[in-house]
Amino acid sequence: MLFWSILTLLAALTGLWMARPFLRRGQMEMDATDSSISIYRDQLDEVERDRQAGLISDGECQAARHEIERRALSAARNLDQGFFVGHRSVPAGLGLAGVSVAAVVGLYAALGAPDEPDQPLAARRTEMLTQQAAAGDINSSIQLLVDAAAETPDDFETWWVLARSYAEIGDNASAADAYRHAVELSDNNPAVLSAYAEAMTLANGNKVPPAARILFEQVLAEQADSRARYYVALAKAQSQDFEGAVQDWSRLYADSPPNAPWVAMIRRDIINMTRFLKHDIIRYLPDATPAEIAAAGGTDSPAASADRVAELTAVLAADPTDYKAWIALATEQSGLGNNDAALAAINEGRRHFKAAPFVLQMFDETARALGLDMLDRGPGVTGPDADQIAAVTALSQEEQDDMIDGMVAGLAAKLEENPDNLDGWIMLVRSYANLGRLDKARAAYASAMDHYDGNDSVLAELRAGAGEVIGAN
Amino acid sequence: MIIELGHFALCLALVAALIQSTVPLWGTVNGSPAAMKVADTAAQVQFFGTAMAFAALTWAFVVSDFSLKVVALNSHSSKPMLYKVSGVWANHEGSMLLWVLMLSLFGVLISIFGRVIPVVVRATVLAVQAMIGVGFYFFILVTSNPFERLANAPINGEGMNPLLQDPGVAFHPPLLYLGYVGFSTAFSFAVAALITGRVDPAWARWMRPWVLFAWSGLTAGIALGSWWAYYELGWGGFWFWDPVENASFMPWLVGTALLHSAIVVEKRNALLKWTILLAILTFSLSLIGTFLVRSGILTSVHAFATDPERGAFILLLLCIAIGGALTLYAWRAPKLQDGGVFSIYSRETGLLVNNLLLAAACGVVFVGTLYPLFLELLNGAKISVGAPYFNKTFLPIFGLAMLAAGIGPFMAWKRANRAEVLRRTGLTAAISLILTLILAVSLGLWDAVGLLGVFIASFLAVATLIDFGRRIGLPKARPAIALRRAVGLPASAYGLYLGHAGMAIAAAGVIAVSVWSAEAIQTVQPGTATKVGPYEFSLHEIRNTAGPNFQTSIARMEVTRNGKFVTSLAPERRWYPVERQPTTEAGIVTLWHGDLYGVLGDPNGTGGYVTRYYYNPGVPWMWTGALLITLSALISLFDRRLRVGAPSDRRRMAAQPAE
Repeated sequence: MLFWSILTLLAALTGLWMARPFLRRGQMEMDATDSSISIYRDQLDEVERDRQAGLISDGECQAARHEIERRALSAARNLDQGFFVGHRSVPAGLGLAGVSVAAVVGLYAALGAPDEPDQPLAARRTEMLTQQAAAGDINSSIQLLVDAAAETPDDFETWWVLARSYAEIGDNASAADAYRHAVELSDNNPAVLSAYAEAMTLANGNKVPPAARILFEQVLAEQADSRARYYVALAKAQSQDFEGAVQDWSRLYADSPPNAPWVAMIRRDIINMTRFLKHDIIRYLPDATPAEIAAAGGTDSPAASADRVAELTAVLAADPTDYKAWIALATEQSGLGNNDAALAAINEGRRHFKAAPFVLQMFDETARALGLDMLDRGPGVTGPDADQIAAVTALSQEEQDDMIDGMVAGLAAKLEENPDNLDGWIMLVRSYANLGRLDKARAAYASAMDHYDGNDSVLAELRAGAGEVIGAN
Repeated sequence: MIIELGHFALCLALVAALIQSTVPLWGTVNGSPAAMKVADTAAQVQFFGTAMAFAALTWAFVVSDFSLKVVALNSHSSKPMLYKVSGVWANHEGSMLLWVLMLSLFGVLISIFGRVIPVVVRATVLAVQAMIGVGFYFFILVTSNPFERLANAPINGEGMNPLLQDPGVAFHPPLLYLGYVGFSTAFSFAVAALITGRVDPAWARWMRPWVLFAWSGLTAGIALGSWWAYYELGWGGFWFWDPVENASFMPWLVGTALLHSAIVVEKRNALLKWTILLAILTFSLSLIGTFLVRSGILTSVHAFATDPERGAFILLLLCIAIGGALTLYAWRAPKLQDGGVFSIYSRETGLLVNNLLLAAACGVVFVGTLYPLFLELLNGAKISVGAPYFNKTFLPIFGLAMLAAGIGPFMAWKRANRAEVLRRTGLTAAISLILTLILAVSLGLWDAVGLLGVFIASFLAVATLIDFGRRIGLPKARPAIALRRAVGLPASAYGLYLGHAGMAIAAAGVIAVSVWSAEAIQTVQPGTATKVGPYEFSLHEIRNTAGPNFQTSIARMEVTRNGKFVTSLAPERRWYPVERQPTTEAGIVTLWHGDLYGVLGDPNGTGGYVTRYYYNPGVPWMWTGALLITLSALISLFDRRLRVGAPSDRRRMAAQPAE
């Protein structure tokens, strides 16, 4: 209704404006001759100027003058013929305005879509996010939850789900923040507290911060929460109390049902502890497998391992972007009891893959599996944060090139895990080509072709996007 | 609601145009000044409507309202703001809206600044203008409505051709349309003259500012388009004789003729019928240009819409406008009286010759552009008429026109001193010949065609300088007096000198780059030097990075001359993921005598890259010349006498007893 009122008002105002000449009092309008005469006046002026400047002779000046004056006279003869007298004519004016309003409103009613609202993208945020969340995009679900939390900040359930979603995508710092709200709203429910402390720990690079340890201990004071027990033990290990840690873990292991999801993790930790302490693993883990016994004590054949170490070192000297070799090297070194050397291999590998979060994550997992993160000098588990990005922009050309190499290698690793990523393949082939590694570009192109074999439309896109740069088209 | 208000405003513009095209004409027939004055108020409402519609559409693009079909098909939320705005006219519907916005802008300007034009003439001019508008409003609302909505708005749009995401091309269409559509005023004045039967110096004076304004916009628009092609398409070329380019060049040629013949009407009351015909032809060629580009007959970056219905509609409009105007011309023109007579040696003859040459030049471009289309229509044969045809036909004619432009100002109006004209022409020719020889000997350039071109360009430049010197009293006058005279020259004189000098400079640039440019296309390993003319180019490292909505590889190319470092270029290869399209951005460094131009191609084989290197002498001259030509028209606009009907300075008149 408002819309139609605005339309009609606009139509009426513009209609009246158009009709305005009819609504004003009468006036007289001159015909054209007057303006012609002013032109002849200018021309006479110009002739005079030209004469003064010496551009034309006096004779020429006279002749030009006569001609202009003759024309001006003939124009002046028409002067008194043309003028019009106008009269005010309200009916004509209102009629014109009325016709105009009717025509405009009618035309718009026939063509327009008056009920369609504007839909600027910013106003469609919820719609957009819901659609994307329904398609499985967890980041959109999170945004929806963030919006919901901003709207109803006192709803425990929203914060709880939000925190768990953050944890799911590995954003542990945000998860911890959301859990904190949930803790406040749940009146210190131990389960929530424990989840909160775990997120704090994970956000801290899997190192249990003092605050989290206090929270875990607070939870344990109320109930025997397995998670809290695990992390208190981890805190002990991280403060170099390996003895206390291994005892706690072995007790937790004994109390846990055999199919509990954390059992594998505890076994791993017990193995690492006994290796550090040089204790007999059977004391803590009576059902240890031969492989676990080997991992916990020396290996079966240290000589073979040493050979393998030498071989990997050579491979890495030739191509430091082979992240699997770094992981293998760290594993072998740790098996030989050289924890420092294993840690050095991980750290060196991390340096080469600074900008490839996916590879960094694999390094972190390796370090954790080998218990290296319990050591003082262990790596932090972090993605590229603001500092790192700032550092990257300050890098020299050579360092940047290194970093780009690392990024590309990271992309390659990611595609190996999950090859269903057409844009990724195209980017990989183009990146290799850009770096001048035509052989690798061709190999990647071939793998992509293999992967999408039979899917003609995708193959066509692949050819269009990546075929040209390696000359395959 | 904003969008629907925009749609409503477009309907309002149509209704206002309908009123503007009928009520004032009824007024002229029945002697009603009120009805005639409705032309002014209706023109104002029409502009209000198109401006509001255009603003609404722009808003929709800026906020990415994908419930509008045209936004969903041509925009994307990640596009930088500049290209969201320029995206408004980088598609068929929006560009047609821009077209009518310009048309109504000229209408409202006439209604405001044309107060001194007698109401009968103004009413007729605005009515004719509105008739053109009515045709285009129907075209837009029926076949190309930019306010068409989508039932289910997508979450994101399909993006915009990355070639068009460039600051140079962002403002090319508005300027070009300023020219195309601006010529509609000349057309309206011509048709009004035929209707009212009044053609006199005053008529030419009323019309000329609009022609100047439109012509300067068209010049800038063409130059900007050419500049864009030069740096964006990565071939080092600036003009391809592509039908779309010709479509804008033809109105420019005839518009240039119109600009000059209108002077003859104003000064001498001669060439009246010819000027009216030129005014009709100039706008007709603009319409034909619109038809060629919009109908989908041509496939190019411009042909967003290949829709036969639209083509047929524009063809119909074209037939009505051109056919109607020419019929009116055939009927009414014989009744018009041509005024002044003039001898062979006179400024009038010079301008007439120049007119005929420009018209002939336009004629050969017209044939070269449309003949292949007609042939294809007749028997489906596809032939392509390219640079060789235009070089053989257009260039000689245009060269003659430039010589005429040099000699013309030597001649006085009506009857010139024959001996004096011949003497000055001889002097100019001698100086230019010496300049040409000096250039040939000192640089060792012995290309006959090139030297002929250099001679013609320097002829125009020298002639312009000589005429300017004579006009301020040199060599006889003392420097102080000459300077005072130079300051006192009317703006239109500076328009003449700047325009002709700009033409000479631009022509020199065109000749230099056409005849003496050096290029090398090769696959190189980084570090290898390649000889290009007097320069050596070498490719250095290539860096990958990302822009707002693209990924890019930027190369560093170094240019040396005789081992000494000159400059480095930074060409790019971009990849637009949304549109899945690559673009090249040439690396260009401009020196006073030419451009160093490098293009990074695809990587190839063993770590090498395809690269194209160019040394393009004269290119900066071309742009400078185009800029001078554009400015010359704007400066002429400031001439006191052209400030449409500004009353002349009576006090000065009184000081001259000869009145």
